[in-house]
Amino acid sequence: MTAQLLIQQLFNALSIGSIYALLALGLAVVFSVLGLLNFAYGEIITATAYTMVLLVSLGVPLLAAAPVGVIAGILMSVFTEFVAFRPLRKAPAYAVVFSSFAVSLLVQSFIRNVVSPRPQGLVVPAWLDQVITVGGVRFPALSIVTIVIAVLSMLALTALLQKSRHGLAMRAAAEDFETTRLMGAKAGRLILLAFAVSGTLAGIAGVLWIAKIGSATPDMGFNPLLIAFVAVVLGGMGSLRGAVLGGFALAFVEVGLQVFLPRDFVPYVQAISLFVVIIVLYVRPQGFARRVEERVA
Amino acid sequence: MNWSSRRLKEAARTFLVLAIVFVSVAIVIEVLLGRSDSRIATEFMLVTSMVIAIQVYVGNSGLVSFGHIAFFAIAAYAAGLAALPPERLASIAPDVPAWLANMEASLPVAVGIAIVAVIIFAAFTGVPFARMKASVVSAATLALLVLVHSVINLWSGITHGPLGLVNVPDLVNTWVVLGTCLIITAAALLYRASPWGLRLQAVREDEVAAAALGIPVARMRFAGWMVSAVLMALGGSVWALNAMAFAPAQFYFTDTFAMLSMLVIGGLGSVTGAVLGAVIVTVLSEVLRNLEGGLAIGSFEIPELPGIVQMATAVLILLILIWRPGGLLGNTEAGAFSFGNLRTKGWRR
Amino acid sequence: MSGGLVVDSVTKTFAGLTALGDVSIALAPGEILGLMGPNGSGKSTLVNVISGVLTPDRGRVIVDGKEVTGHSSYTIARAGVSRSFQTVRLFRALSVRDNIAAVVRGAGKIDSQVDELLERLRISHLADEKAGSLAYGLQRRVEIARALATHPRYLLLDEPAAGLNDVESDDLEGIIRQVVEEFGCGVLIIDHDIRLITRLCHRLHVLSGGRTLAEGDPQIVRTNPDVVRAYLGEKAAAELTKGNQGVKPEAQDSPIAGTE
Repeated sequence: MTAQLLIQQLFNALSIGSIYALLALGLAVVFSVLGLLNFAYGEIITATAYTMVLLVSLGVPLLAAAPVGVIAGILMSVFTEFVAFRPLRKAPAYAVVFSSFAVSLLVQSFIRNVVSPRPQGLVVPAWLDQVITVGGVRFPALSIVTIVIAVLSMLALTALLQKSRHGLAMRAAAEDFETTRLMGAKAGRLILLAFAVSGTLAGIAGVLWIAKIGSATPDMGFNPLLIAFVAVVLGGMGSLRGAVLGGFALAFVEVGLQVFLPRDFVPYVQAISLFVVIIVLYVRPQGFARRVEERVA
Repeated sequence: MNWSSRRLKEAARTFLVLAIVFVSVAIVIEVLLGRSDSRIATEFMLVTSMVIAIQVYVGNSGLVSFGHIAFFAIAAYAAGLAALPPERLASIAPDVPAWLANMEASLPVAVGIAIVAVIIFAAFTGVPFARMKASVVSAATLALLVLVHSVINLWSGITHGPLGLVNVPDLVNTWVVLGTCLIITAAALLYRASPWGLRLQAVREDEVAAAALGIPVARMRFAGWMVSAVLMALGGSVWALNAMAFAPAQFYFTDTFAMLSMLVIGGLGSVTGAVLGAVIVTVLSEVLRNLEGGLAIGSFEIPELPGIVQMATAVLILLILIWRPGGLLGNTEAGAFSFGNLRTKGWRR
Repeated sequence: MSGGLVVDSVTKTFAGLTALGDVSIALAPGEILGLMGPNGSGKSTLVNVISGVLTPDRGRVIVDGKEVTGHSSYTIARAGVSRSFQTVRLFRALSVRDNIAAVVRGAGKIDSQVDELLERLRISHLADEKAGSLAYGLQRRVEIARALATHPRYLLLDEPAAGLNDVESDDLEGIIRQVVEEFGCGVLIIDHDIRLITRLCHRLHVLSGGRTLAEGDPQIVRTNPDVVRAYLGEKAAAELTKGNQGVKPEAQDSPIAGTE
């Protein structure tokens, strides 16, 4: 294991981890306010991706399409809140698992029937395809952009939560989400904000995601969903910091496995990293979070 | 121990009702249906019994599990591998350990092996899952589903990869299927009426209060997980020996969603609900499946709509959740309507 | 095994806010202790700490000589502590009977134990009703029956009389007395109903801002000027003068601070 290889893989892990952390954070924001997971979260990525594919195919430059894509993501997130969460505010917790799962399937069916079940390609501008090589280590431009954008987004969110009035309200709600769930209109606006923020983060992640993989399929949202879930579970208890840590940890485990596993086992990377996660939870059910504690209204 | 005779009596009455339903279906199959139709019908009965197995965990604990299909998969493959004769295994799954490959297991042995395999897997995963925060268990079970599906798909040496197992010996007839259904139904009702079932339901209703009153939350969740897993293994292995051929795609989202939607629609909290939901979704699917290829009614044409079954089911789920979040039957079992109850309380329930 | 539920110098903070500051309380079996204080004074937090729902930052909780600080609420429940909740936390979808059956502990057939408790709380006619469908006052009674089902050594009641009218309140008083006499358990009761508290309790403990303000004999505590000042303004003063039981003149003239 040369220093060169080490740096290369660290950079890869950082780049992948940035997207994972962003995804995890988006999911954790809603979870911290509602105490519920959004099973249609992956479809935010899907909405962003297809919007961008559409715009770019119409000749819109990528940089202009990206913000529109993020907006599509926000709309998708807010749509989920109105259809799957809001009507079930008083229902038992498991109900939104089914309702958001149902929304997810509906969106996928919609895309399959209205757009196409086949992959839709996206071509990124040449400058993003460039690779900067320093001392034998490859730094793809897209990866650098990914890390920068992801970190900036996460910092912006932190600033929002610490400084703004809304951010403080969200943090207060996070302390006692059971009560938040049962409160009236005031909470409604707060929850809407949480979904909008979640949509923004996932939308940005979606832009980076589609730029990286280059094609959109109806079920593309599933992988980001799984990643976000695993990272949040690892991070523990809706802790935002934990989710980010979880995202990076997952990326490092995946890249690590890819490097160290014998070639034959490389297809098993996803399965093994999930297995590793189960082991971690065995030992520490609360994940990275500090002590598990129940808040009683 | 702490058994309640009232709850047992209700369970017994429910079992009577459901048993009559199952026996009638079995008789119809044997007497009226031809070979291919009867295969579809027995498959439906086994799917129903697996939905009941899922209900044991999801309904009593209130925790949605996507991972039960993983138990189904493990049981199916274990039973299939055990039952397949070594000659056929050699070509499709050469890496199967000799002791398993050389077995040309009979029905009870194949089922037994499947149950043992699932018990090991469920115990290993059950411990961390039972201690996890309730809101994230669902996500963890999703990861479990992906894990198992991925392994089955990739480890072609023992599973024959994406092509799956074929020509699994047909060790199952209608009466075996009936027996399986009855055993699973009885076990599910018994568990629901048992002290463990009751305590798990208390945890479902209010975890904090349950713990503060001396109910061991994680232990009760683990018990539900294990009972549900064993019943799933029973249903899944018999299914494998009835279906005779299956592939990894069988044990992923489409089936997970189908089975879970049966539960949601029929009623999470009761075994009767699971059965009702299975009937509704299956009938709906069959009707809609005919529409998938497009349909012409007189001069009115309905175009091809791939995936309409899933879409319709998803919409139905959303409607039911908004209107009746507990499902059509909620927590009510068929046995709740005893003559005594009706006389004193009237028909309002 | 020495008896007694002991809370020793317990402190609990939430994000910088001190909910409990160095609070100590002792409850002996057979004793009824009243916990009072304005809203936000830390009463429910204290009960949550004792029952293991929350872990104190500092201090100890000891049940019958066994230290249970930081243990799960399950362990503490098994050590003999039981409770009701400020907002009723019944197992809503289960019948009244099943609510009790789920937690009942003790020798003998479960059905007969449950029947007996239903009788005692006079809710037998509701046995098969869904707990969530009952009127509020009745739900409270079910919660108490359920708390009793665990045969506790120490019973924590968090505002059991809230929302009850005078008749129901008197009823509750009778039930608690009866339970203490028959089972010999220690009872910690939080409530705002001053009449109930002073009639029922052997001792009072008053919290304010998370700290102990006063403790001891109910009459003495009630007329403690600090207590009257810290407690609700109009309502409490009116109750006190109406009850007119040995209220000292100074107390009546005390400035009504009315912190809420």
